[in-house]
Amino acid sequence: MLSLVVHDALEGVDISTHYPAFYQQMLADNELREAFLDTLDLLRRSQADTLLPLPQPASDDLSFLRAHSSAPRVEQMANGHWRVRWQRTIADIQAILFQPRAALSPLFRSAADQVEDPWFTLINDEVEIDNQRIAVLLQATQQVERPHVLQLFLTAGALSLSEGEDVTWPLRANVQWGHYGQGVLVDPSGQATFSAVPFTAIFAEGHQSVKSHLYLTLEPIA
Amino acid sequence: MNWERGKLEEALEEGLKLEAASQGKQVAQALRLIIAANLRSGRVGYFLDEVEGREPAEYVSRVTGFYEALSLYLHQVQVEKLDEVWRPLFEKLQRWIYNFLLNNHFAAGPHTHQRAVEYATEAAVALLTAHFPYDTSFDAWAFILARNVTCKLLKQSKRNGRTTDEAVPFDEEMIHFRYLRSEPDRKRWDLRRDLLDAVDALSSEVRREIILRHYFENLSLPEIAAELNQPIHTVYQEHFRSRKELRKILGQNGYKEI
Repeated sequence: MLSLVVHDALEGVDISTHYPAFYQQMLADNELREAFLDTLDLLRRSQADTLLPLPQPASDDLSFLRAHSSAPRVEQMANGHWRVRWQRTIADIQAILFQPRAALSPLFRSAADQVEDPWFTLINDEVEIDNQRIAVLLQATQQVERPHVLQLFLTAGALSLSEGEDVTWPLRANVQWGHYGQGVLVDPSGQATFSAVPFTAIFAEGHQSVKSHLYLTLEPIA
Repeated sequence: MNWERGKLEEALEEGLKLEAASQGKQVAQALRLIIAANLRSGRVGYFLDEVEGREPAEYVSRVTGFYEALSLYLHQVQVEKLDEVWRPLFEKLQRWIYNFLLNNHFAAGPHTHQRAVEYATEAAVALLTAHFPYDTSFDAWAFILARNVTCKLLKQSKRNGRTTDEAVPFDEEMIHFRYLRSEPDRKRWDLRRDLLDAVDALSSEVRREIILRHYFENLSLPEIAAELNQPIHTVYQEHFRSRKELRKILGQNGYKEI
């Protein structure tokens, strides 16, 4: 949320009048106010190229680009049917949920999380199949009132790569994650809500480590 | 105004239809997915901010503008993961974090640089899969993501005994001026007089100028920054500090409400 306001402040918008409710919140929240001020300051200096230089040449080790997450598996059947399957390994999910956020606990919604979206992105990907681009965003959030479950939300859509051609619709999504499994229909607006995932289905005792890979499958309804 | 969820979705859909007519169905479908995720995470509500007359179609139009400008770049960053795109971005992340650490009392030099590289790598990994909302610039979004990762790693590092350098300054609650508008005239004038006295007692000329121009001359903070030839960040910061100081002065003068 803060990035939206900071951008406008840098563009010269008076945020005290343009975002009055947010501004009031900022007046009452030290951490949010500090985040706003130092973001504004450092981005302004970055734009003006007046940030202090690094004392040594910047690291150009981009190996993290290659280490991250496997590509989805695409199956295309003879009858024109297709299916895409994404996997997030235990290590992937562990990194997303616990490092460096270290936040998956009843105290998850700390003040720092109000600064930006308190959502975990498990999958954010696009894949081309059958002259369509399939976009998926699988996110998880932990609700204050239900601290021992994760709520999963999927946003998915098929975009035709040729103007005028129809996309395949409707789509069905299935999540398998440890003892949890559910299939849902993606609604016409591209959204699907899964039932809550209990921590006991996906985490080892103590809820600090993930015990299962996650699989998301997306396919058109025949 | 407060938008009821169903009405808000309808209004957004209307905005998307307009974009579909001018941008084509494919772009509109891509926008639909982005806006659905942003609606869920609360960003649409933050944009509307209960301001009378602000329409959801403005949000759709804003997202459309950023989508046109940035979707190719985001594809290169998150899907293609191009080295030539990532090299300058990774350097920028390191420099942002290095300067953020310096602002938080870390010493300039190779040790802090090494820490910045480590944190920038974590931020880069988070950036690879994070949802870009297309309602802001890439730099604003990426900076805040990098800052959040850095803050969390600093807290983790502090817990592990690696550093005690985490510096998060704390202010007191700020003064609220809302009641100014609702008091009877006589009281309002008394208050105005006391307020002007308190403004006079502020500790710097810049603070006096900001309060007078903002609250008595109705200038916006960016306008004041331009008039005083000060960076916008400084004006916001001094505005916050002035209000805190005013609260203290008025409190000493018997105003209990503040």
